[in-house]
Amino acid sequence: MTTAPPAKLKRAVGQGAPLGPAAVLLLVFLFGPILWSVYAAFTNASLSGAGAAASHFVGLANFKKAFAADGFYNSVVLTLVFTLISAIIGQNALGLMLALWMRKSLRFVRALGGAVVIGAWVLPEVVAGYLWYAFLAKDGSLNHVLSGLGLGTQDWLFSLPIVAVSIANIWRGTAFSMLVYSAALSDIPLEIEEAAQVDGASGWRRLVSITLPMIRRSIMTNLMLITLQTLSVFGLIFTMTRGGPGTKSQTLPLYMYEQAFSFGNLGYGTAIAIMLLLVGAVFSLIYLRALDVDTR
Amino acid sequence: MQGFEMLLYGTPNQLYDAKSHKWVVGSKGFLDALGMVKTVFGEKLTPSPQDATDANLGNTIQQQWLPKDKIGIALDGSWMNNTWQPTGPKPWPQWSSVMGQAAMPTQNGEAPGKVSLSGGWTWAISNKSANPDLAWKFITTLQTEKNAAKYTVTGTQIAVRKDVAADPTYLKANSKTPVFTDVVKVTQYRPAYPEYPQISNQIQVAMESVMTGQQTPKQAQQVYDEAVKGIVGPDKTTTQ
Repeated sequence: MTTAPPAKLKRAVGQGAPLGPAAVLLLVFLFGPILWSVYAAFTNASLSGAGAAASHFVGLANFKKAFAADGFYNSVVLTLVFTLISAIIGQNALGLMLALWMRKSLRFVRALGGAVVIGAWVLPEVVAGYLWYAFLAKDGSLNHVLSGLGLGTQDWLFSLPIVAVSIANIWRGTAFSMLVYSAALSDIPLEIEEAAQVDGASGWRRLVSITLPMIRRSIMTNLMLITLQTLSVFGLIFTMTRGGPGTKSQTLPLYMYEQAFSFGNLGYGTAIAIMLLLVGAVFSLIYLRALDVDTR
Repeated sequence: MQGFEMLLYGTPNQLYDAKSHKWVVGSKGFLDALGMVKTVFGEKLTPSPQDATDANLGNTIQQQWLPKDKIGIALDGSWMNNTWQPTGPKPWPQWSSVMGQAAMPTQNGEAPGKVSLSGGWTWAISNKSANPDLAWKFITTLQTEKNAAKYTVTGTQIAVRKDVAADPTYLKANSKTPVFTDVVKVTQYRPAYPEYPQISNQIQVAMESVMTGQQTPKQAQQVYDEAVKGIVGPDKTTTQ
């Protein structure tokens, strides 16, 4: 190893300099708070009372408390259910179907379909949440339609709240998967599919044996991105159910919020945040591993 | 979901024993209050459990049910009419003429006969203030009768001072003000200690399990008592 030649170093500095301000901002406003929350997770920091005046180090007490709390397990299970239904199955499959459908349809149908789906994605989280609340509520538009057709009414916000918020999240997030898959599908040369067609492969066979294997990298990337997005969904659920009734739709972000800000236990809340981060890391590792095996 | 503490504070028992500085568990008042919840939900005098657990129930009551004559009694507070001001989310100028106000009675009419709970706030000077004297002067100016009355009227608040309560601008601001001003005399404070938000949440849990019929009042009280002991520690609870 020798030191880098001056010319090369100069070029590196020249190329890197424009990133400086952004890097500083990230360090101060993103990395700083992350470091603080890692530290806070091991203290009894709180919004009021003894922990607010002088917080001190409590070791792993916050994590032990979480693993002994029914509320924590309830939230972990609900988070996994929410992620599985709304992201891994719902957004992913629906996004792929829409992308396949749009590839085959007429230009103006494609434009119209794209506009509708992306419209749902562009809406702010809270607006989307309130729309779905207004749709599914007892006096909501869905029940008016259902009873108008003589079909009885639904009460999913009360009886199946986690399913209700999952449906809303599918509706809101599908556009992202659709865009990822549309881009991936446009990279598949038509000749390959035509060749398969000539060989007598059915539509389903072509999808499973040609299209899906060719976009497998996009599938994994998409799964990773929507999983991470869905794990941290807060506003949508908070607007629709506040995590209730009781704790029946209290996913980890809502549990964390309640502990940290409603009950004032900042230390415990940040410990939950770190465990949420770990859940995301586990998912990411699984997807990265799948990609890795794939490219070998 | 409102009203449990109003029921409890109408009994001889409370949430917190100020003399021993301990949280009260196992009280008869708590059981009676849950019994009342069971009765009103059981006899369908209330919104259904589905409505009662709706995340937007408060808005629905204030902006739809009350103005549209869909509900008989709303157990709530003086702040409700903020919603119906000309600048509020649901202007409803007739509110004070079509709707009566009454103080919440005590369980068996015990003295003082009315129940009221307050949150409360205060002007305070920080321990670390560099200019405590100046801050004191500022608060003194703020709290002259005239200024305090203006602050109270502008913020549509209930006067806690006799001189402000007698101020003509205050009396003129809202025809129902005397009803609310009157209960200030008997109002009690919620025990707003650091543990209170968690205990308040446990009250809600107990109430929900009674109103949905998952537990009897007795069972719900036992669950509450255990939860309170877990939150504040068994040595910080007492039976009243």
